[in-house]
Amino acid sequence: MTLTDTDPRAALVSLLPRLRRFAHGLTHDGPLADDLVQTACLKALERWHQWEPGTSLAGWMFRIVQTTWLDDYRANRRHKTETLDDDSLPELPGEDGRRVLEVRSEARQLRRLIEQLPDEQRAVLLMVTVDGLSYKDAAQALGVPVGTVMSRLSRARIRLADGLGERGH
Amino acid sequence: MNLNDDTLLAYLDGELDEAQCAAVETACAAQPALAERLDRLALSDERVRRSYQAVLEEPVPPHLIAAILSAPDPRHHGAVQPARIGSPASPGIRWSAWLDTLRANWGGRGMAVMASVALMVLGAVMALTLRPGADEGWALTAGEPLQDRSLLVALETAPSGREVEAAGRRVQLLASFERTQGGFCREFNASENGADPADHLGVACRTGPGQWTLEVMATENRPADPQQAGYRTASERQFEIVDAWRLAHTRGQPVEPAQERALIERGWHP
Repeated sequence: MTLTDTDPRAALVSLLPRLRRFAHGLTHDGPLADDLVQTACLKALERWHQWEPGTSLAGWMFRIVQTTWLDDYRANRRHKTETLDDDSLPELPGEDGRRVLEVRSEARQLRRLIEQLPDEQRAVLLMVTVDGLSYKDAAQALGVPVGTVMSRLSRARIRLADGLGERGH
Repeated sequence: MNLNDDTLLAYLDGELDEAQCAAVETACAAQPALAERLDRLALSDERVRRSYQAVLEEPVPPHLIAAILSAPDPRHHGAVQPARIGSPASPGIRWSAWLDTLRANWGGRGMAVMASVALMVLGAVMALTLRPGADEGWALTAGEPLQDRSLLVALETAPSGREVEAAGRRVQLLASFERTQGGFCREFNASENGADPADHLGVACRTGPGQWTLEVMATENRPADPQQAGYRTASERQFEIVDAWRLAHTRGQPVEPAQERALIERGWHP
């Protein structure tokens, strides 16, 4: 069974959990992320002939989500305040309230660091480190050499590791 | 060998060859500061992944699935015809291919995620089929492949005992049986709805991925009875007809719930 036999719409539906996660990483805003994914999917269906069978469909979709975000959304987006909804942060088991607060504050700090990354570094981080795409597939999707993917990725990861380390343990 | 952060990250990503890996490990054993740096990089990666795990696992909103499934099929150039879920006349999306894609993407990694996607799709299908009068897909004829997609998804993914909505009716999956000639069949009961007073008890057998053929069906018209609004079970006469077919074509006992669950997860492969 090759993907070319599949209804493109069905192929996109099966990618939705990963596309939502990617969009969430870009927007950090659940409803906006879903809206972005929907727009990107409809856009992808309109230009389906541009997708090359044999290449990573997920990579191609991530690229469309990212360009849609940069071109159509972010420019129009009202400036978001720094407050993050605590309920949207992952619930992690903690032995006591203090531990929960600590975990939440770490999560908030991580999100802030990710939001502060340059766009191209954040996209590669979400594609490779979070989603598990290969360097090659990410490079193909973004239309850049593998070496560029690697250097963007390592800069992003070093920045996060150093940023998270600043608070000490 | 220059042991900078880039090398450590390449080590974490499994991008180094054996000699380089050994060099990193030797160096980390000798230099606690380097080992600590490696730990910090690994922990940071892990935190990033973990912080998005909840989004990956949460159910996809049905409206999002519905918006995509109702867009025009790009393979049909020029033909701007949305996939009308629940109507056999529409160009249609291929459930079989789609279910295979789901399994290929999620199999082994977490059938729970697949199942939740399938249930969400079922939800989207329901949302599309629950319109009043959406009954045109309900042309059930014994010996013919089933067309109603919500019923197909239910047969393919819902455990017995589960009651689902399909084409504006309540459908209860009753049991699964192994067919004598191989393969599996499922017995189901579809209740009457406002537009059609007929109650259907039927057996459908799986003929391929996402494809089920109706083998036998006993239909009984129920006069409208305001006292008995809602779901009613099939009558004795209906069960006699269906039981006779089952005795002739399937291995006596229904499939055990645990086995059925495993079959559903493996796409009905024994």
